[in-house]
Amino acid sequence: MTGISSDVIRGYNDTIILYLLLKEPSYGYEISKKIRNLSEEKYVIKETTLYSAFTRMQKNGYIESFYGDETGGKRRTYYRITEAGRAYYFEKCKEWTLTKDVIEKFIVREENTSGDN
Amino acid sequence: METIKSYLENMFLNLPKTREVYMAKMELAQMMEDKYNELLAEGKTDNEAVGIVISEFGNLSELAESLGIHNYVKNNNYAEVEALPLDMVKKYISEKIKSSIHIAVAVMLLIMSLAAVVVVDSLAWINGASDMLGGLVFFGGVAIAVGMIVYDSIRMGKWKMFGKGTKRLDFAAESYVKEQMENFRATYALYITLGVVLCITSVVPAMIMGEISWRMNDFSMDDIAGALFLVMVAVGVMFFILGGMRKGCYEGLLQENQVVMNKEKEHQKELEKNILSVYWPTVTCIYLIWSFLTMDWYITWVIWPIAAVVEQIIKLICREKK
Repeated sequence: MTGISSDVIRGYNDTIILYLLLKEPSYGYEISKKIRNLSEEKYVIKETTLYSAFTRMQKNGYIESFYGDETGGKRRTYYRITEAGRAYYFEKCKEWTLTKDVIEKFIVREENTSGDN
Repeated sequence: METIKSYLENMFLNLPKTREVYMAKMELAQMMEDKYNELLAEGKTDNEAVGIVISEFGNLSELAESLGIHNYVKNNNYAEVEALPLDMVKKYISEKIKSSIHIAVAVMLLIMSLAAVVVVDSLAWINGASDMLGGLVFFGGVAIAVGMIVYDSIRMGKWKMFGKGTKRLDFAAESYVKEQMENFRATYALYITLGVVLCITSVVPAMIMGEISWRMNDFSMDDIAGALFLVMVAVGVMFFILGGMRKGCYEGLLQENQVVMNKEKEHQKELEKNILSVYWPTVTCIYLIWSFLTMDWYITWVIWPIAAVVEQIIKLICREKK
């Protein structure tokens, strides 16, 4: 079974997280759940990967953290996207479109190559 | 949830207690707890939920840079160190148990071949047979025993990488080893008790037979008594080795993680290991030399209980230094 390429996805973890923060602030588990659902369970982000992305993007000023008031009594750390984060996100979108277009030119679809398996 | 908490505690155990590390731990714990609760709500069993949460946790080395522990992780080689999977550790343990049986039997054979010499000599003297027979039996026994030890050390050669702190156990393997060690505790106590009892009571047949032979004025029994004494000591020593080597195997495996994570302690551990590796062979040599030089077999056995106490003292001293 072919899995997702961790090398490729690594460069786009930030993009994925920023996309989810575009609309509204969110917290760790909710983000990881959304990634799982939106990717139809094809990509499950590791907790450590997620957390290191949070700290890195905070350092770069792409996101900010704040404590949310939970009804359950627990204080979760929420993250919200900054203006710099938005700019960075759209930059990454352009980068991906370009990358995808380039790589596409070198990809052979399996339907077109019968028998070679 | 307890398992997840202890897993996380374990991962963070040896990291510096900085604010960043604390924050990371808190948030990771929160994420794991959220995921765990949701899995339970989806109808997963506790075990399944714990398994999924832990398998999806990731690798601590990913956090190294963001937590400012990069140097720490690097210095300790923790991230670069290959984690030993469970099945490999299981194989190692079963090999090590086999090895402990080989060594124990070999050492027992060594001591018993001495007993055989005594018996054969005694019979030879009675029957007027050749003295050579005793020597033949002795060297035959020694040859087999040495052969077994050499064979075993060659066989175990491929497991040399263990115990050097160059590997670490993954979480499942560490739990497995701890469980095995706990299960072995009772057996270990039994082995050591049997060993001590055999060594102490080994003088009893000699005393009884000495008394009988004195009364009956038949001194051929003395040789048999001496041989019996050696046989009992041999079996006792076998139990010591069986118990000691297996316990050492578990402890060694668990130390693997400690050694990797605590470079400073490594030197002390190494010292202790080095001392103890030559300790019992030395004691055995002293015992045999002392016994054969003085022929005071009735008292030389005290070296075993004394040596056991001294071993504990050496261990304590080594640990105190840390």
